[in-house]
Amino acid sequence: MTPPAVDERQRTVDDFGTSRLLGHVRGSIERTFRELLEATPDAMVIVDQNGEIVLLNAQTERLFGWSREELLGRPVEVLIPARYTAHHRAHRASYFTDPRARPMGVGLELWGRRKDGSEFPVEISLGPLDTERGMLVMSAIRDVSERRRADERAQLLIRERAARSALEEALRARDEFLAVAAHELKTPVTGLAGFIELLLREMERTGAVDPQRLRQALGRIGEQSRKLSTLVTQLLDLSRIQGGQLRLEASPTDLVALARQAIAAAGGGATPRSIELEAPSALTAEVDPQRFGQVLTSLLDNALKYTPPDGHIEVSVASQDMHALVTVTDHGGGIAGGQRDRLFDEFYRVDPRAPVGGTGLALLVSRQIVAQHAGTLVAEVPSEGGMRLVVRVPIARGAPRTEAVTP
Amino acid sequence: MRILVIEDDEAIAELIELALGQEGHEVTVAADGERGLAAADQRHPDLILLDMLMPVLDGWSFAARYRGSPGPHAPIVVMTAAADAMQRAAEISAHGVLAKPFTLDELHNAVSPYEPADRQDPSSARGP
Repeated sequence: MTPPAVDERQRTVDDFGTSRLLGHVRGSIERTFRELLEATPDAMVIVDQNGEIVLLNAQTERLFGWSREELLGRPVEVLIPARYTAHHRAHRASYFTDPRARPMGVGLELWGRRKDGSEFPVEISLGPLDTERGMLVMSAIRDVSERRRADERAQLLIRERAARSALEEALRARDEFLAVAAHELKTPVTGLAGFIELLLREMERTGAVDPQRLRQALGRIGEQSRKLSTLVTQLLDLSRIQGGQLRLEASPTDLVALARQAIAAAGGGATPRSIELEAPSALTAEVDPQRFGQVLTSLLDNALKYTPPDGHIEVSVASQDMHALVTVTDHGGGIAGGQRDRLFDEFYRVDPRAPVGGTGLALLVSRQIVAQHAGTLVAEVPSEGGMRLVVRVPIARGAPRTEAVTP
Repeated sequence: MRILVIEDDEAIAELIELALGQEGHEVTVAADGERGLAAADQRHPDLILLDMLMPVLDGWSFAARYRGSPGPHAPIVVMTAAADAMQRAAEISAHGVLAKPFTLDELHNAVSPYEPADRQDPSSARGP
């Protein structure tokens, strides 16, 4: 027979040992949990199903300006700007019906509120904790003001960079414009000064000028002056366009009729080269007839310049995707594509992939006028040689372009 | 000396023809590179004044084809309105460059170094 006292004592000892052990374990787990909580860089706030704060770490005190004692047992909404509290209460209730770890308010800007009422942007992650006290919710709260500021700085930097590159682009365009202007002006200036010099030389040498020579030189001087005057007009056109002062008077215009007129007038109306027109009977687009006619004339002049007297030029007018397409193709013999590309380097590049130039100012003005029509002017070098200039403008003008077109 | 002027601008070509003619040179004018090649073949010039941007056959192509033809080859002086005239001249290994706009004196100075020694113009002759 086993003495009950021994049994009793044994059981007591046993009980004592187990509960002490369990107590140690629980204490150690709790300690570990608290240490973990304190080691986290985020503010950690644990609330129960009523939304009352049951646990928090020192980061929470620092971040929100409340002390641990002040917060324990308070509704978690004390940490949220007043305007969000009702909303938050509803969300908190629904979280308990589907508790899983997730970030809070995805896509929303979340705000925390300090004890002094000031607010700061936060990011919050939520996680359920199943405990003997029932379901708790643990939230990790991170102050993102610094990151938000860094983002803003980065955005500012990006905007500044864009503004600077736009400015650089404008300066580069101006430099190119000046280079083109100088290039184009040099030839008539050489002619003007040269013929005058020639006459003076002859007078110094012989005391007189042969009347025939005088007439010839004066003819050239007049011609070069007119050339200069045309160039100056074009330069003024360009600077007006670039200054946003060129007002288009757009109206429904038959581009085919416009092309016929330009062809008839091309090369002073007396050109031995044949110009073929491929077009429907009419194609109406909303353009400024005078300015657009000027563009077509410039394209034809350019083509004529590169076409031998027995050569031919093709002009086409067509519609494509709500746009009118006008092309002028020449077959300038003897100039291979690669060399022709280099020829454009001398003048102006519409964009690095599609250089336009050759006759300088007139094409530059054309390109600007087309741009004012919300269209494009590009050069293509067909595989069979020659060059094709392609104008593409919308058939109907959309919202009026108010901003200045910069090249 | 015999000078071939390859220039598509009529007025400039005429000006050069008259100015150099006044100085006693024998000037031939061609309006593009293609005609320049034919003229060079016929007239065997002592010097070629070459514009770069021309229809039909430009200065670059002219220089390449001219030098590829049986010699002898005359020196080439490039005439250009490009911002970087020296660069243009270097591109075709030209002997000289005449930047536009130019005065008649500059034209004279660009041409005179190529005067054949036995026919050198006294006004531009170097010292003994």
